[in-house]
Amino acid sequence: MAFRLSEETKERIVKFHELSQVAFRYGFIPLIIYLGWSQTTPRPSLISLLSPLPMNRA
Amino acid sequence: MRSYLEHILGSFYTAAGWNAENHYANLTASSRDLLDFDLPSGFILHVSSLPTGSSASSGTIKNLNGVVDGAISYFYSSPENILLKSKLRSEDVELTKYLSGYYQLHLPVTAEDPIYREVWRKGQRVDSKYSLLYGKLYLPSNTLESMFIRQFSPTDQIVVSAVSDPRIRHGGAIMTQLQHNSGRWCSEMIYSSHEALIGFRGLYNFAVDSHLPELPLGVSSIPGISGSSASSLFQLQQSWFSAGGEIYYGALNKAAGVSVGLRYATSSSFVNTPTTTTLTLNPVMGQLSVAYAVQATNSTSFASRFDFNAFSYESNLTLGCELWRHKNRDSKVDVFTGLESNNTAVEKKDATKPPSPAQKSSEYSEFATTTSQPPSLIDESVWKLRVATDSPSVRLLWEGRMKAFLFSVGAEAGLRADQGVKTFGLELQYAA
Repeated sequence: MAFRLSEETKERIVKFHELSQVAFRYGFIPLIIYLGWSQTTPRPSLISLLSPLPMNRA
Repeated sequence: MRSYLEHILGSFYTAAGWNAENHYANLTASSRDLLDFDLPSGFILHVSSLPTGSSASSGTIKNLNGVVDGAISYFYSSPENILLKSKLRSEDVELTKYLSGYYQLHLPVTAEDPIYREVWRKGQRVDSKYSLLYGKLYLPSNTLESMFIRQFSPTDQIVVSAVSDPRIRHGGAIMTQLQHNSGRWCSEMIYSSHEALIGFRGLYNFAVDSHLPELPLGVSSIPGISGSSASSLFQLQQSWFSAGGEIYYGALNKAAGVSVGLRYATSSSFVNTPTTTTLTLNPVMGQLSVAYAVQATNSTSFASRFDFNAFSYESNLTLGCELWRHKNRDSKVDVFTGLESNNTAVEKKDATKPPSPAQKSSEYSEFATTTSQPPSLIDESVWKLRVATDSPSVRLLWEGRMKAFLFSVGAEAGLRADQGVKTFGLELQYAA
């Protein structure tokens, strides 16, 4: 017997897929900046991490 | 001109001891950079910075026909400070690495034993794996391009790249590459969600570094080995064959492909001229391609490629060359060849102040370095020219460094009377 998903489950999967894409699109770059900030000793200023323009190192 | 991403990626691979030359996709890199170089289109400005040794960011503004768009990129790498191991500032970056030209291949080296990477502190292992995160947001289209690299060991890594754009099918695509690179053998298993494509690539080198160190200039023999044996060993080391292939299948579009390639490369300018000869064949498409690239002198490189399709009988001959213009660091005199200069590259010092002990020691080490190495030159600019017969056109590119900026000016023009300038552009890059 073939495994079939209910319509409700399908909708939930589609919704989850859409939400994860939005989270990835808007969350990936903040994650990179956060890692750069939290994993560096001493912690740099956020503005120097955010700006592509050269600034004095923290 | 290479992008900041390519440069960061190169620095990351250098720090991680990963040889990207072994990828099958880079089989024709030497001739590709001379024959298929990109031209800037419109006006492009890149500004990049390296706020810490692990993080970098870059911004781009582009103006093409009055339409302005841009992008912003961020990088994070671990372990800490690995991005400081290479020169990334546009002021002092090596131009031969930044401006794509003849790609000098190096004899593959066997991978490092993982035990050398272990760091133990108080009975606990504290070393971290090499990883790189990259994200680029295009504006105003709001498209995200991302990449994640994680090295499990000196021979294995995973590369996950993804693009997220609401305008493409399913809102994006993701590609995963599982790579194994032992020096002699490099393989990649690929899966892409676009068309559900699976593929396999491999490249085998018939010679790898047999643990003999490269002979520095001025050293004519290896201790313990007679001069003729050492030079013949060295010569053998500096030329090698590579063979590779790829096979892929798209489950959604039911399309498959296969290609095979051969490469013969010589890499030492001391015992022979650096050349790369490649042969690639795609039996499904009936495409045959033969390319030859040679670095004739320190300042000039030439490449040619002949493409032939066995089904349509179409053929194309592409010729390309590059000419470097070097500038001597101390005399500031422009020269077109870097071979005959006898000036050393010791920078001028302030003679009014007595040197401190630290300065003295650095000067001695600098003297020792400069006396054992050839006169160092700063590469200032390169001219590139490319002509092709299938759509008769000339592509001309001028790239170089002006103060702290890297510039690239290029144009492509058709050779027929009714064709004019097809592309023209200026690209500026500043990295701090």
